Amino acid sequence: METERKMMQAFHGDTAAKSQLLDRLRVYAEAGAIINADNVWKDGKGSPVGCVVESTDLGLWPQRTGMPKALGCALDHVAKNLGSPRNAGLFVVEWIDAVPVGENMCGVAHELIGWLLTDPEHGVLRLASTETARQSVCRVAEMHRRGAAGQAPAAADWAEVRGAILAVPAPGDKDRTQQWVMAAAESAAWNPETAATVIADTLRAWSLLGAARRAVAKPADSAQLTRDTQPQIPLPKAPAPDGLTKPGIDMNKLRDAFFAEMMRLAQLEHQKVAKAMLDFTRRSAAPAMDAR
Amino acid sequence: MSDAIKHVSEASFEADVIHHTVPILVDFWAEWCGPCKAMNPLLEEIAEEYAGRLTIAKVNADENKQLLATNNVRGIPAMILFKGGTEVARLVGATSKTRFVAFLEPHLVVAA
Repeated sequence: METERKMMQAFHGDTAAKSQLLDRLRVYAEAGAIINADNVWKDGKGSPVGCVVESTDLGLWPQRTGMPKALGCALDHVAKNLGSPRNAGLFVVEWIDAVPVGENMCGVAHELIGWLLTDPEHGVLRLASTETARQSVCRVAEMHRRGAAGQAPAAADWAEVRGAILAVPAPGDKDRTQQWVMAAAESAAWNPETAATVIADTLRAWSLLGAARRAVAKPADSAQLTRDTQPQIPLPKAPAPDGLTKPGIDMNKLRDAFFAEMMRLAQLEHQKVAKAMLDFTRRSAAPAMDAR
Repeated sequence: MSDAIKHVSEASFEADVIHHTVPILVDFWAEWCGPCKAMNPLLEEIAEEYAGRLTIAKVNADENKQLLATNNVRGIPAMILFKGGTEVARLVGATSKTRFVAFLEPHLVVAA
């Protein structure tokens, strides 16, 4: 059983609404007010979604843009990882500019997830080394292929696939690559027409898969992996008592250099996602142009 | 922030959480916590999808330090599920919707 695609039109078919939004975003971008963050709007600065809706209420995103929430969350997530407010601002303006007025952007959301899962160069599938993992990724990718064609499966079908993936025994701790392959498959098994965080969740698993792969080649990266797999922030502890021996290595410098390198790699990966998002968006205009 | 989410403080915790009649998930968060903010869209979506079966509440960790101590919260985001005034499950760290729903569902099953 399939669901009928939600009727969404980018900018609600209003060219002037797109122009006004773009003008406003250009001002924010030039002022460095589009920051690298998720779901933020404070003191005239914010994440891409925050700057579009001038609030942290994601519910306003479809009202203002005529696009699914999942694309808004994806925009925040990608821009957050582009390294600087300048890069985030440039990307957001370029992407909004590329969105064709009146186009239903749900297909782009499905295509982007499909790309994350199956692209021969960057997709999750190339790293799936077990038959179960390959089948899980392919099954979810097929659902998104149908979604991109305007025939997204029903909610019960997505739930059934998620249940099947969750029922697979977890790969051992030594096989973190396969853990993140399965995590990407399970994260992606939602309909982006209705689930706001599906692209961002899939991107997170996709990034961690990249880190897991690097950790195999370079064990030092496993520290980053451990940090990212437990994405929580410890609350400050009481100060250490006086008289402890000072370590011979400047741990702060070492840590800063390590995280700078991790940030650089994450930035490179997310530049590829930003390009894919732009490509799918630009391509989405083509059939509509032909039809006219 | 969606109206579907309740904001709770030390003063209102007893009435809003302990005496709440339906299961309530309390999210301990802070303004400076990136993973906490990344969870907001998911929490808003869950609040809408589970309306009537589950309440979502938020506690600002900076403004309610006593609640951190009484609930043994050592890292954020920390999401504690209360039923009938008692903690029944807890999830620490940002997570995907799939894992979040898998965490919640067993506790929201209505007895036949």
